[in-house]
Amino acid sequence: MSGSGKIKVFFMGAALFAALTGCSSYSVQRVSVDTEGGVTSRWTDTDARLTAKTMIRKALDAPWLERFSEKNGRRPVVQLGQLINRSDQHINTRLFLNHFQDDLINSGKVIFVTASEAHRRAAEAERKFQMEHARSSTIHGPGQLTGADVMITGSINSFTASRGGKTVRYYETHLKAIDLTTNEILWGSQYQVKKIAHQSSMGF
Amino acid sequence: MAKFRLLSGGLVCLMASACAPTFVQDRMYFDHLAKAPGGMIGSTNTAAANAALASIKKAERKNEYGTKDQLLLGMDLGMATHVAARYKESEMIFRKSDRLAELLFTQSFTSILMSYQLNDYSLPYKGLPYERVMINLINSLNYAATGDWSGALVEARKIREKLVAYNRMYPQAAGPPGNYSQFDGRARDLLSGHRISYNPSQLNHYTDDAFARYLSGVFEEAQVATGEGSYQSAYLSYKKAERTYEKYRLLYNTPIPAFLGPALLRTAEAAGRTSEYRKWRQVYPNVSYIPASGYEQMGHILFVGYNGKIFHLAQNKLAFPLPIAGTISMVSFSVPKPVGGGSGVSGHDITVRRVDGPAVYQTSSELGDDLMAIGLTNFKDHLNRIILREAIRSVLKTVEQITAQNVAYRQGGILAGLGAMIGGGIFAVASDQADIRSWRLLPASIDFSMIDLPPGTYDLSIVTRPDVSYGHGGLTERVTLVAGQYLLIRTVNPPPARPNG
Repeated sequence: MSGSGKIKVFFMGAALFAALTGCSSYSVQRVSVDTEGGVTSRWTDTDARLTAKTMIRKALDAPWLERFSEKNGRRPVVQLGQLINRSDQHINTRLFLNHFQDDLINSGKVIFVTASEAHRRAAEAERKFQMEHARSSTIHGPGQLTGADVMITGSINSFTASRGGKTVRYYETHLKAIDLTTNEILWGSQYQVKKIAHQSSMGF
Repeated sequence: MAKFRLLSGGLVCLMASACAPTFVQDRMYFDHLAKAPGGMIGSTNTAAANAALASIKKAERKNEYGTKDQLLLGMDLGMATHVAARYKESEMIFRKSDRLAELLFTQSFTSILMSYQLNDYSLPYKGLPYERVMINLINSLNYAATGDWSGALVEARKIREKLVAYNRMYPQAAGPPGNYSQFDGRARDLLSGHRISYNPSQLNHYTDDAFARYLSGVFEEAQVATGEGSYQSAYLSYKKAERTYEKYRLLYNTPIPAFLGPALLRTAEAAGRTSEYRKWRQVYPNVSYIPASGYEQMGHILFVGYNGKIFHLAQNKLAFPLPIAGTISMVSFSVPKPVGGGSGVSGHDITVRRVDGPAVYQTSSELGDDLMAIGLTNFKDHLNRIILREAIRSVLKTVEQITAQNVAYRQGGILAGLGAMIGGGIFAVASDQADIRSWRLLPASIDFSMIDLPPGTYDLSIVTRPDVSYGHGGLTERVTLVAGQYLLIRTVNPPPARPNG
């Protein structure tokens, strides 16, 4: 190839390279949230399930349930209070509480009653309907509800720590069981989810 | 040879046109907004806002936002849907944009290398810190407008996290990668020789957002009744807002707003912080406020006004002589410069009447965030960080061009040398573009007022201050408040229509 031919190839190649690479689109890769350096450090459904599973194990392993049963001769009646989101991420706390409630009920160690306003209103409307329309032997009338002994409540907080190119985000879930007669805290526990995001230091 | 030059030139032009956005969306958008009756858009008179939103959606359909401008598209769409009072839709768009901004924040090494070789259009638009923060601020108002105070609070919390993360990154700013580092010294000499300031590790002055801090306090108070918020947290947010507004006064000439005093006194007292309450009493000796017990029995209107239009960016070309390979060559590079923007509206006067009754309350809104001032300062910090890279890029390109010319001259004679010079020149001109992408749909300022009223139905008469020439008496909104309710009322005062708009 002649000298001018080489120059032609060089410039055409350079221009093509620039045109193609300079305007190429970026891509986003999805990886498991458990993977270190995953694309998201946000709270996910997996985090909710993992936290619920761990907290249930902690709740069931702690002696507060046995102590209550020994003292009162029956299983405690539990209701779920609020799980306040104090983190910097949008967290569906209801999702976490549903996991927690289901597993605790299935353990057979507690009796659950609903604390949901919507559920209570719907049940009340149904009882009212039964009073008017159902056979008297099948009516579930007012004044028969089971009162809760214990309310479980808590919060989710988040904080971040950075070192080098890594940003570590912690989600700390606190739960406590409050005795509704005495306001004593019967049980308390916390669990941290730690997520790492890698940060390029090349930014400008 | 003529064919070759034509082809090369064509390819380079293709590269340049494919990468440079057209920037016409904002003009059409604001032209539509300016047609709103009275020059003001509220929660219900959204015809002009819907037309403006349609213009952005049309641009989206026609792919006028490039593949690298998807964040910009999200920001524009989010803002336009918010202004059209489609809060849920806007919230979803902003949430997606926020995630995209987070991904772009951790950009790849390869793409940065490419930006050294070409220009910043080879990188996806990721916005300046103040723009990324505004995604969360406006989105917090989306949540507030739908009564989701917990969601609003999350958005406000994200702001502080973001700003801390950004400033943490800058001192570690790496030098130019690989072979580009050999031009670092020359570029520094070039800038110093022409007294152009630069600092790749420049920190942001914008380290916290006072208005977002204040709103955090309001969002906390809005949740006290449900047990999700506390006076302690609300007080701490107001206190941080006060500190940040003190910084704002020095940085942006923004006065500390009067709506902060009653909030600090009320929450300090309700949180049982007696010594701090006494301290604030000395700072605000004549400020009257409603104690928390009475405050909880009232309804509350959060008035938010968006005024004018923020600045946009234009190209500023710089050229300097530089000795290379025994000759003096001209090194030129382009940097963005802010132009335009502003608002003739400094705030709003709000009169509250019982339905068909006399005025019961009058107030004037105050500046919450001066986005023009925040944006300009943030932009200058950014420019300080990027100008060295622009200089390195231009020195590199000039050296490459001169080397190619010399090689072509030696191997192909004077004609080949001339061809290489012209080809290199075309490439340099086509790729020498300042990145002038910015979120142009932001207002120049946000003003705010907190209106506390006994439960009832009211008519709010909102007029701009000063009464702008293109206005026709402002806007009236009817609201019904119950005890403990917080309600967002948002107005938009776009800049007046362009003479030929």
